[in-house]
Amino acid sequence: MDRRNDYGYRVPTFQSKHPNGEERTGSNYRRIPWGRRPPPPRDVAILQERANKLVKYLLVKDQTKIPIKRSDMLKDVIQEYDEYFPEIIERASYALEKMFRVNLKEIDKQSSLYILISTQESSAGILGTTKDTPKLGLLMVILSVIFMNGNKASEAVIWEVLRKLGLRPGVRHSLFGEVRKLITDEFVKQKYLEYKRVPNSRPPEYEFFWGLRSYHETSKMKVLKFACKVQKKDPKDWAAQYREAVEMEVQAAAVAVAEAEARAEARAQMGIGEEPRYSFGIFVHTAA
Amino acid sequence: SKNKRCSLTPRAGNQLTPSLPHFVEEGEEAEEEEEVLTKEVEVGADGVSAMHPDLLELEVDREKCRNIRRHYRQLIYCVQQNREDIVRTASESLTEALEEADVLFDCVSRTREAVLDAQFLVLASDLGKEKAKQLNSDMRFFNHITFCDVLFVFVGLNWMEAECEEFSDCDDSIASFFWETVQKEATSWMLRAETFHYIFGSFKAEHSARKPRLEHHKRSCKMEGNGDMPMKLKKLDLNANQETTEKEVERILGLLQTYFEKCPDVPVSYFEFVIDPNSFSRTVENIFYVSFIIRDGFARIRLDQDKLPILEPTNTSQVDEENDSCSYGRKQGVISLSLQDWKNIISTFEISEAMIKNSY
Repeated sequence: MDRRNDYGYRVPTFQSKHPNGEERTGSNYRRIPWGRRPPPPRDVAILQERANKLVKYLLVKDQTKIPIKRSDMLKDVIQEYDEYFPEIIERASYALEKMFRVNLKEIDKQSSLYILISTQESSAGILGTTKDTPKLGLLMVILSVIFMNGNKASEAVIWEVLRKLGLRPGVRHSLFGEVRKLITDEFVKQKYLEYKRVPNSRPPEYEFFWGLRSYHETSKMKVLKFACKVQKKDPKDWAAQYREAVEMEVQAAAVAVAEAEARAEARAQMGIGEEPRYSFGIFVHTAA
Repeated sequence: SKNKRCSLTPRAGNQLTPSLPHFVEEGEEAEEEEEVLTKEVEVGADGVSAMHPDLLELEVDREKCRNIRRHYRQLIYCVQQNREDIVRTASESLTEALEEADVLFDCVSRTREAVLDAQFLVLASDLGKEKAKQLNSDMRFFNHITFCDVLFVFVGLNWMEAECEEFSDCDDSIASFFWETVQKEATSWMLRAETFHYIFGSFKAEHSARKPRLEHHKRSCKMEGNGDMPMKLKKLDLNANQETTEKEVERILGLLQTYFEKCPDVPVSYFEFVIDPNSFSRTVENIFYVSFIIRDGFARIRLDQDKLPILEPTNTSQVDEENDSCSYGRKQGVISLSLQDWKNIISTFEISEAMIKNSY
């Protein structure tokens, strides 16, 4: 059904178009496995269109802060252009950087999980309080305890801290709700924390670690600085932690440089970097 | 008296899992019970509690060994229970335990006891290793409880002023203040991306019955993370935009027709008509709306002698112009506009104000 004649029709959000103009919904595509189709030819305009859709998709998916799976992107947005996934995602990544000041990062190469992080520190500290629950404050305290304790903290230790701060398991908190669920479930799903059973522990005991997202959204050095700012100490006073933090910074810097180079090369090759273009179809009606 | 059954499950971090001693212990216990039984039988059979002196000596030996084993097991159990304490603090308890084992070992003459001694050594060396690791890494012990106290000070909570002794007894407002302050500090150390939310769907130029649509949108917002969400939003978008688009197209058509009436022989430069020098996004919307006008045949677009697009009314009678290479029927054109193009056009055409004024 050609919908271009509908007044209500706008740039389609997540419906895809087959190159020859037919429109199909996602459900049709599932009947024909993509592996059997011949890959569609490379058309930059269409790739850019998919990239733009992917941008919107990612922004919406990011609302829950649960990392986004590559398989979901392929199924919901990329569809028959899965061959061109690297280019589409690079275009989307470029748009996200330039227009939304957000970096798209693959945090887990094995499970292909992606997150969005800001390119610059939030100005919320300067602007004042936000309406959201102060979950990041709680998270930061937990991350500090874990790191300062040697990169892991038993559940017992964490609850000692939380109790001191007025939070109890099983008691609904006015700001955080059910705290136990927040730290063992929500933060874990979002990959801010890891909650693992101590091997061979009977009865089972658990301990907390930093999650993959935490390593990207903050760093050991930043958390050390936070902890030291609170304690009015110099980070160097915590010699072991400081050494560890410095080591991580050096590693992260090296990785960042390599990534930036690879990205620049890929973008040059794909012709990404010209300004985003808006394209419209206009129907020219001529009468004799 | 039953020997204390200590669990030999290794504590956290103890990589060496001696499974053998576990079996040995089981065997031992069974054997010991057997020994006790035989002893009883012996006494019973004789009728008198006297035993053969050789047997008696053997019995004393066995009792001694049993004691040694019991001591070892107690020692091992104690050390395991106090593991955390031994490793973390600067106490001498590990040394004391080793000394005790030393004393016990002096009396050891048989393999069974020696095995227990070996087991204890494994445990002790494991703990020793952990203590040494902490020493070498120069790690000052981070006291998480002190950290909390320091946090309160950092936030500015003065315990003298507060009416509560413990933070958990405190007023809700104090708790809010505390967490908001911590949050403020924390966010400056994190690169968390702001989440993007549509406000009420796309921008609406007019007031309309918002209430029912808001509910729709709230419902669809709750399905965050669900793959269905994009589809639902699209449905909403369509409903919201249908009337707006029609109205805007009509309005702009009116403007265009007014212009055509005022200056009947002067075609409108397409760019001058659609471009809003103050807003790129409005320009893009204008192009969109004008495309409907052209599609529906209320105006047409063609290139003039300078190859620039112009808009012309279609109700005037058409005479075939020599330059006009368009044939009968529909043609499809694509206009591509970037921010830079838009700026260039504004400066080239010296467009100072929009021809299509906003309706709001």
